[in-house]
Amino acid sequence: MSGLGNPGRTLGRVAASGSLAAVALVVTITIGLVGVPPDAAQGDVQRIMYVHVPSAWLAYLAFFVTLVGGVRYLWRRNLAWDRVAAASAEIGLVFTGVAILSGAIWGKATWGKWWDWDPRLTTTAILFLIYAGYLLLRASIVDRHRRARLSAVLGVVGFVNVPIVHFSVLWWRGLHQAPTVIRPGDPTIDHLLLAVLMANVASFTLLYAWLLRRRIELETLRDRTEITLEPSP
Amino acid sequence: MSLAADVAALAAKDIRIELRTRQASGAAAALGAIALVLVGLAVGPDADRLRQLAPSVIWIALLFATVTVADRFERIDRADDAFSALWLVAADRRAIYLAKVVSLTLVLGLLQVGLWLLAVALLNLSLRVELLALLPIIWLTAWSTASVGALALALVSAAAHRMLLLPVVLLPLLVPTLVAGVGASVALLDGRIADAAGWGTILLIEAALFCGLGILLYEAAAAPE
Amino acid sequence: MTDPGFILAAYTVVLGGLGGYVVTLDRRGRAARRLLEAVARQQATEPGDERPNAPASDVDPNTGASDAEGRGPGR
Repeated sequence: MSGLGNPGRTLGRVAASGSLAAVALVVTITIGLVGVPPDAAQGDVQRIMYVHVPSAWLAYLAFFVTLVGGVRYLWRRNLAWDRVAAASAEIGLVFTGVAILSGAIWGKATWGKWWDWDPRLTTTAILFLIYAGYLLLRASIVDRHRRARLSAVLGVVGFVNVPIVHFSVLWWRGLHQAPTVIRPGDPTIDHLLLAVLMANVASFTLLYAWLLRRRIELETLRDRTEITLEPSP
Repeated sequence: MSLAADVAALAAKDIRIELRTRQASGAAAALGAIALVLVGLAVGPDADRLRQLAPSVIWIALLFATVTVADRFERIDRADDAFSALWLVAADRRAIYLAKVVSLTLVLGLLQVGLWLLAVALLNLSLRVELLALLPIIWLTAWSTASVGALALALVSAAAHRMLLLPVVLLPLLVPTLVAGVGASVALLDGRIADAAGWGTILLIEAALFCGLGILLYEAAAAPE
Repeated sequence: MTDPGFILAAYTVVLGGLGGYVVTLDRRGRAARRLLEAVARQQATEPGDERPNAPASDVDPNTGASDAEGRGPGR
């Protein structure tokens, strides 16, 4: 199988080892915590951005990979792509969970409340529910190919839903409440802080690639066990 | 037969069954009415508060009623392996999906009309001419909900614990429809016709998008194996 | 809570959550590997196997299970 057609080999090139991700994370998180000055408006609490924002972005990336894996499965009916989709969905759910929790903590620190129906937080929460449903659906179907097919469909519909949810909540919030002045993840940030943020996004991405590889290995082992247990035709 | 004729025939079958048994609509109407009464009791007799909450309550009641309606339709389809037979004989399987969307839209639309009328009485809504503008909003949300619902039904039909899984899969996907439906009805109740028209446009786009997705993906979702 | 408290809480949630996931992934991987090995061993020692040195006894030397207990669970 060509490099483009074999997802495992492609990921292997991207994430050489967990050590690379670990070192990158330690370096970028340390810089974020102690190596750069605090934000002028929010103070030190803005440093939460360096773990919250990458978690949220990786959640979206992970679900995009689930979409791609699902579409590739529906196109070629190759279970390797289903394994990629399923693995990425689970990892995406973990990143979504930590993004929501860290976002709530940041919100409490800046807005004084844990939840504000901020469009980004709300969309992330709906994303969590959609992909929790995706994993629950997978868990309740025994046949491998049927599970792959149905998950792929839900992966496509779920991902398409995300921007629609985001814009819906943005407009809905616009009707109900004036936007606050200080909000987490304000896009107009200093160039240095932005660079540190991008560095953290990069190290989180390395972590994601390594986790994906490990999770695909687990999925492959499970599939092999299923195949071994299947009665002979 | 053409696609339209197939859709009409299959939708007519669903509607005929529903008219004879009233399984789906009866249970859904009861659930919706109970939801309205319970909210009224929970919120208290404050007329202004009830009026403010009315659109949200109606849409939430509708979402839960959708799960009931969808489940009942599915049970009828799957009884005696009727769906497998239909799948084998259908010339164009998109007709099966579109027929399901049509019949669900009809039932959900009528259910909403009933809920709004009940809300006029229970939640102290005043009847105004502007409320007639609710009718297109009602049918657009019904169409959007039905498009997602028909696809979600196909996804969970093969799963264990189907009845538990259906709301978990379906309801998060209905969030955009819920938000737009509430937005449009709040705007209408406040007399802001322009805002309501904006939300109505969003609903139209959502319904068309979800229906289009459903047409593309239904065969992958529903194929019995 | 002070600023350092919020920062500590957020970093703990993110790094702890991801770290916890790494640990569970490792555990699940080892459990899956053990299961696959056990299943493969069981399949290899079942009667009807064409291997020339298959034991005459119907008791599986690895698990102690006899053939009368049937095959492993299907899915």
